[in-house]
Amino acid sequence: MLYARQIRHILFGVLACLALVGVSAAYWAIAGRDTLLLREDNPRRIEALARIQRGGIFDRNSQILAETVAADSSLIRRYPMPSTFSLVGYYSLRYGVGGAEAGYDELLSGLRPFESLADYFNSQILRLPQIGADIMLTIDTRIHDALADAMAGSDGAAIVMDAATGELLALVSLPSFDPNRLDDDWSQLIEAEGDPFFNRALQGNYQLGGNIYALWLAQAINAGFELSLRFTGAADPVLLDDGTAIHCVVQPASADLTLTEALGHGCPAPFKSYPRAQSAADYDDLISAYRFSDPVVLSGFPQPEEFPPPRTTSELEPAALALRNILGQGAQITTPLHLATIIAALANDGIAIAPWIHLGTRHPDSEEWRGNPPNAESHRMLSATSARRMRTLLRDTWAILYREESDPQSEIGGFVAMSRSGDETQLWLNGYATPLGENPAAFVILLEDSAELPKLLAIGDALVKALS
Amino acid sequence: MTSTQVDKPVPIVRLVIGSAGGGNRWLLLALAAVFVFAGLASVAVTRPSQGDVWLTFALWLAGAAGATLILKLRLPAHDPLLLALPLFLSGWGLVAIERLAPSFADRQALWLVISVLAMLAVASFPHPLRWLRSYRYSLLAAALLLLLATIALGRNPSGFEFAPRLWLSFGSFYFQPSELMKVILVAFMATYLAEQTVAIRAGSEAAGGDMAASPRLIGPMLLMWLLSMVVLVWQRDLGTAMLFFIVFMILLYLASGDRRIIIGGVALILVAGLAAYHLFDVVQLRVDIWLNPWPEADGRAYQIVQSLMAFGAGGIFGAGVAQGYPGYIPVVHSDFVFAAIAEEWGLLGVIGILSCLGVLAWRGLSIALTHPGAAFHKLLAVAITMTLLVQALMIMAGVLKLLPLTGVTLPFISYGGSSLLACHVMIGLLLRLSTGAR
Repeated sequence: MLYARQIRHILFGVLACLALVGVSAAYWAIAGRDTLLLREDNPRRIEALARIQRGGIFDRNSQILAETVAADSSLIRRYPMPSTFSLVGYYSLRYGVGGAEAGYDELLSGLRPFESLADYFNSQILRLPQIGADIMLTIDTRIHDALADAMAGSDGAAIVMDAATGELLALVSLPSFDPNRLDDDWSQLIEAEGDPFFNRALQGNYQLGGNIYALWLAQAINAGFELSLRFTGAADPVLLDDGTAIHCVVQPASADLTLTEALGHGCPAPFKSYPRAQSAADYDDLISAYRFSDPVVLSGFPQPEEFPPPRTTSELEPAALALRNILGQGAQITTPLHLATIIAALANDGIAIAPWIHLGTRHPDSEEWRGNPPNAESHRMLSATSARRMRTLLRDTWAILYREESDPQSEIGGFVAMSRSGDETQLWLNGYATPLGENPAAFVILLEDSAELPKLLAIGDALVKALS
Repeated sequence: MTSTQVDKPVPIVRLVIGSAGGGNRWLLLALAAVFVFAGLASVAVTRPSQGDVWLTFALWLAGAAGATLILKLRLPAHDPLLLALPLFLSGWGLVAIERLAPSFADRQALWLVISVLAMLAVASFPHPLRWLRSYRYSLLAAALLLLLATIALGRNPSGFEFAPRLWLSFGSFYFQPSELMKVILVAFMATYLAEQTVAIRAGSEAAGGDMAASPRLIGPMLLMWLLSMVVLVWQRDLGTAMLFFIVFMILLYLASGDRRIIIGGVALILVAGLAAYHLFDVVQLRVDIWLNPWPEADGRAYQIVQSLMAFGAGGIFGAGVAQGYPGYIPVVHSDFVFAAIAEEWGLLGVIGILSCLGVLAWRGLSIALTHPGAAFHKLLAVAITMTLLVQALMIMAGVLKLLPLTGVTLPFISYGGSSLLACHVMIGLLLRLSTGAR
């Protein structure tokens, strides 16, 4: 038959070309799909994100901290509580996600593995909009508001946690940003001094500074040291190897102080003379007991930044390093969150509970909140006896700080400290308060300005009022 | 085959579907109608006003049902798949255009009605094939004149200053002569090669069995290459030039049976491509972004990268009609409609299109295999089938980055009245050939 062989060849060639097109289409639709969809310049990625009905974020009293609302033909994210901005973070199609929005992104955006065929059908065939779950945080907006109001205008951080359960009641970092105005403010925010996106409570790494005095005092109690012993020249500054003078935070009326009074005034000299502090082994035990080498972190949230110690041990004379270690100005650093865990342990009979913040979840197909199991991770930092004794002593130091008469019935205790990190000086107010009939709440307040002691005390006052 | 059989047209190919005639062609139409209705309904629910969508459906249904009925009466022995497939693909195209460029959908529906009428005219009027043979030089001359007219009078509907001016305009009506040229040229090539088959083979024998050495073979091959180069140089229409040349090479291979024709043709395409790469910016751009589009994904390669992203976004099942974002692909309703189908109908939709084209190739080439007539009919059936298929392959491979983009339309589906008309006229000829008519 005329042309038969050639026609068959042509048909085979055409079908082979069609098959090649099919294979190529299958490659881009299946094998190359993820690579294409995840490209930053894929506008469909943004469109898909814009269609997600993201879940809300609530505080422990069901106060809305973040919600998705319809505006015109699109969905927008709204943040009604300014005091919680730094904690809640932001969700932006243009700038990404941060804070709790990032920590719980999968839950909030409804990203989860397919649990059933119907799940797969709804998502992949019907392409129903992705609906995220609501989450409830352990945060108490009332405490947040009180802290943010009192700290307004300062750079710093504040953490309040339930010492018995590890629930975080407040987590403030300043300066902050307004996630409702991210599109307008972004260029200023990323250039802003103090980096508003840097969460000082979680990411800030600081020298331990005078906070270590409380740990030396606890060690002294544990070791049976005579606490009534007075140290002469207690108000004198201590000079470090580089000439830096470490002063008392609050100038004492007397030059002779006990260790407790020295803690109350934030004076370094008595701790420099405290015999047990001279032992390198005792120092190592102290650091080990409070697990500074394994800093506490909040899962899903930004992690502490790398922080080089001011000088390496090899650069310092052993005696100079020992002095720095005694005063918390050596190699040891801490985050406010880690310090809050230690203070909570002092208020909780020596047992440290790992902090947590996710109280519950409400899935899109349910009206009920499903509670998140409490964090069971705990360990003992010091003996119960020592902890109780410390709790009593902290009442005295609090009284010194606020120039009050020490009240044995008081359920508030705390101390002030100063640290030098790099060229900056920080002030700390750490303690506990026990609202009537409730668990003790441990707190750490940090201001990145050493001249703000009155303000620091005012913040402490405002916090205690909010807790009571 | 007896002369009686030739005088009275009979079905040449017994099909699984349609061999019994009657009911099956209506079943095919009903299946196509359900698909088109579902697609347009999906588009309609996303619109505040749905009237235009249903008008489009009414025009398509009227054209499809009318064509089925008229051909059943006037050309009962035709291959029903050769009618059903183009109608189905045209309906799919209307859904895509309603979705992607609603303001063009009415015009496309009107063009479809005109195209179906032209197809019916070609298929059912007496002796169209004889006319094509008898007046081939006149028709070719007229088509060439129209093509040349675009050099002086050409316009581009987009109005962009540097866009190719391949259209002639009559008010708001635009017509692309190269589409008409396509039909006439394939008929001319079939006529020429049918007449030359004996001479080509005789020349080959004179050349000691080496057909490639025959001037009757090399001459037209080079002439066609030159014509394609003229189209490329004057009109910067890489797609049409490639299409003409490839189809002619296939026909030449058919007439000569010499595989070296294909090798020589590929070599000439490469030479022309290399020259065009250095001479024309538009060709250089297309080759560059074909080789590596990713560094310029936001710039010159935006279109092809968005096309590939559409395939990724569609996955296997697609985003659903009117649920994807094919609008990110510039000129999606024309050159890139295949990518839009991939995004919204998924890989299944792509396989659907490829299957339809595969069946079209099979049915078209089967006509050539079994037609009882002379070489002209066989060559014409192959030429038409391959023109449709090569054009489809060129644009599909282009949007998938298998080949550089050539800027041709996807037959029956892409927006473009001239293309739709030319494709339906060619289907009309195939339908006529499918009856065994000479």
